[in-house]
Amino acid sequence: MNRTKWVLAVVLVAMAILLAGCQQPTQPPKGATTPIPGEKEPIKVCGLFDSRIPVFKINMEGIKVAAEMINEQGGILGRPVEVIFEDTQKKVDVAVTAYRKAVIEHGCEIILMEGVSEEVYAVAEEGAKLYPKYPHILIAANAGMETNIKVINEYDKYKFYFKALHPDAGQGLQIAYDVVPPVAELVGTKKVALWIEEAAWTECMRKGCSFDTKFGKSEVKSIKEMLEEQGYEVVHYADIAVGEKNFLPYLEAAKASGAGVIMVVSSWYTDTVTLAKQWSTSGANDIQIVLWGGPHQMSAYWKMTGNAALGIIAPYFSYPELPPVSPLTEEFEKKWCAKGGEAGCPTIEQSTHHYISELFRIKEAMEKVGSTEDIDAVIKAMEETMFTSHTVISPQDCYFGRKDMYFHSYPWHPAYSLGQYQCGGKVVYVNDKEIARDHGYSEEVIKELHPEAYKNPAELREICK
Amino acid sequence: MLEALDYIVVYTLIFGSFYLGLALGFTVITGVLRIFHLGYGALFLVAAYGTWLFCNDIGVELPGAIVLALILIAAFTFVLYRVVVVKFIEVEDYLLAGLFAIFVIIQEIVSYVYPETVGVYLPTTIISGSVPVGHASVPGQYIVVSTVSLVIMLVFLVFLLKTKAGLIIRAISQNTTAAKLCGVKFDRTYALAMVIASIPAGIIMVTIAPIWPVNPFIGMELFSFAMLPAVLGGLGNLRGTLIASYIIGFIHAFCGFAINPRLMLLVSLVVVLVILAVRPRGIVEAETVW
Repeated sequence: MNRTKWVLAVVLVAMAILLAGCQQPTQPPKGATTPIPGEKEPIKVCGLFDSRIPVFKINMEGIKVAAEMINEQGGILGRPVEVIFEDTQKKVDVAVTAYRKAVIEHGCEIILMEGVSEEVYAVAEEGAKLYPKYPHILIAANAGMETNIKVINEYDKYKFYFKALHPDAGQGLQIAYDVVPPVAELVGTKKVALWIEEAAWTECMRKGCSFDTKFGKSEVKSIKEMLEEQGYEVVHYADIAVGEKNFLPYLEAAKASGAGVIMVVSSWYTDTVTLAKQWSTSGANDIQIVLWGGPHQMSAYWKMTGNAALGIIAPYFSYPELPPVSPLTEEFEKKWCAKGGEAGCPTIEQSTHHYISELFRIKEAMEKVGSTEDIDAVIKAMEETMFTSHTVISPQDCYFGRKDMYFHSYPWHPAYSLGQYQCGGKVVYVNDKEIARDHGYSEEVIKELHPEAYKNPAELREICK
Repeated sequence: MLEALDYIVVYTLIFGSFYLGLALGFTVITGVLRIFHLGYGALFLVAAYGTWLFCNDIGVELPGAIVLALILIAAFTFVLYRVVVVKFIEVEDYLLAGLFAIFVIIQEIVSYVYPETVGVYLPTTIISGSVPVGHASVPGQYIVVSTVSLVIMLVFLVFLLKTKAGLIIRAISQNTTAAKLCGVKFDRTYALAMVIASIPAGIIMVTIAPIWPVNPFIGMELFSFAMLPAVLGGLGNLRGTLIASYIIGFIHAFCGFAINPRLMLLVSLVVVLVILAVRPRGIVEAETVW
């Protein structure tokens, strides 16, 4: 073989491996999601995800399990659920192509899509064209507020889209009122360091924003302003880069500022695994750090940080610690944890809970309407019904029908979910019980909250030696 | 101001030594073999995931796993040398494509076998917690990494300046043709230089793991940190790399602690470009590896 051929061969092998990594199974997954001959025609659920991204892979697994559970219950009005995955490669153009394929070729009535705002924005435009001929429901766990405004202001055009997440504009409110104050109270401080990932989805949190919609004007201040209004002193503020890995200058500055709490608002793109490693060995490791958005909501985070997460407070959604928000929380836990076998419950994160819960919400709406085909009516039912079976969110906080900026999205982040990593990676929920009660969580959930068990990081390091 | 000065001095040494450790091997390969090793980033992956494989999956104790991972790096480098470098050393574009392809293949294999959620972690912490130095509180493990980098640099210098093999390597780096005419077995020396130069990357990866990301895509980032001082120093010269590492360390410390941490990489890239515009062959325009 001459040199040219040899190089060609290497490049081809590399490409083949890359493509194999990108490729998604287009056939239905094995198990209960495969339609049985003689049964009614299946309801097709298409999942549009890039499986190379670990969190999306978990989402796909969760959707498969949810479909199995629905099929074991007899499907939706007797129709089994069939799941088909298409690869987005996390690219806008590929996502739009995958979406068209899902709607036109596969005939999917339900599309569950990865939470990447720019992809969802483009897909919603395409969906608006397709919907009249191919009625379907699109659900994505993206944060971007723009898609909410589309649905609010041009309802007939975009009514098929639902956001299985709390929009970015609302997240600032939640952080400023439900996250920082209770943690600051536990710590006993009024001095806060605030770091916010500088990305499109955090613009409202950094600068404040206002929306003019047909429901009226919504105005949201920046997190810093909201905290200062409540009497907190933001002693150190930083916009951190997307993908930041060197946190030492920030940590040194936070320590020098005298902050009692470091609040970090980031997405999956900022490396909060490295942040935990560097924080735990820095001079700022006595300052209570609180994370928002990222892998810390999964049980795998403890291991990923090599136990450096000890003391960190963050929203946490993995089994078996998860409180029983609804009967589905526990039903899903049995199925999900059975997958892990002896290794225990596989890691899971917030958006996976949202996708599986939404499948059950659609099932409930279709059963209420008495039809799986009248999608307009199903959408109406989803807007009008308080859904009581979400695995992690109370009915009022996942209600799609509010006539405000939260229309067609979750109004609030789970108000019980602040977990602190304690000895051995055990997560203890330390939320304020009254806040959780105000958000409609049951006493069963409330009794899983133990703010009295909070320990500061220095204390934990001593105890857990 | 004095506080900022504290931070700048301390972190110049810390960051600079870290970058030096990353760039040492790359510099030697560039200096001796005269190739731009685009597969260098794969060494960090082989080190981290090799240690994890031996330790976690096979059950070897950590010190043994680290030694086995370093042997794996040496073996990988030797195969890379025989299969890619030897074949394409005269055809630069093919060589670059081949080395880069191997890097991407390793990266994808690692990503497939050990996705991030596996939680690969190397418990190689030697100094836990922070060490107060002036106003700064430096993570203890960073001090370990810096010390290890300097020790490796010293070992390299002793090897290059005091041993016969080092003399031959320097001879090749100075004038390959003349060295060949003097009877130097250049093929064996190339292989030896490449294998020896691959080890520091592995040691630094294993040492920095407790305070730095360990994921399937970290190879590219560490490679870029290795490349920057090597290019600025004058490709292939250890003295240049040494000076350039601390210049970049200073820029990062100055931006990070006195201006804005967001500017660390940007400013260092601009400074490197400006220096290269003035001195296209880098800070030290030397013909040899030292």
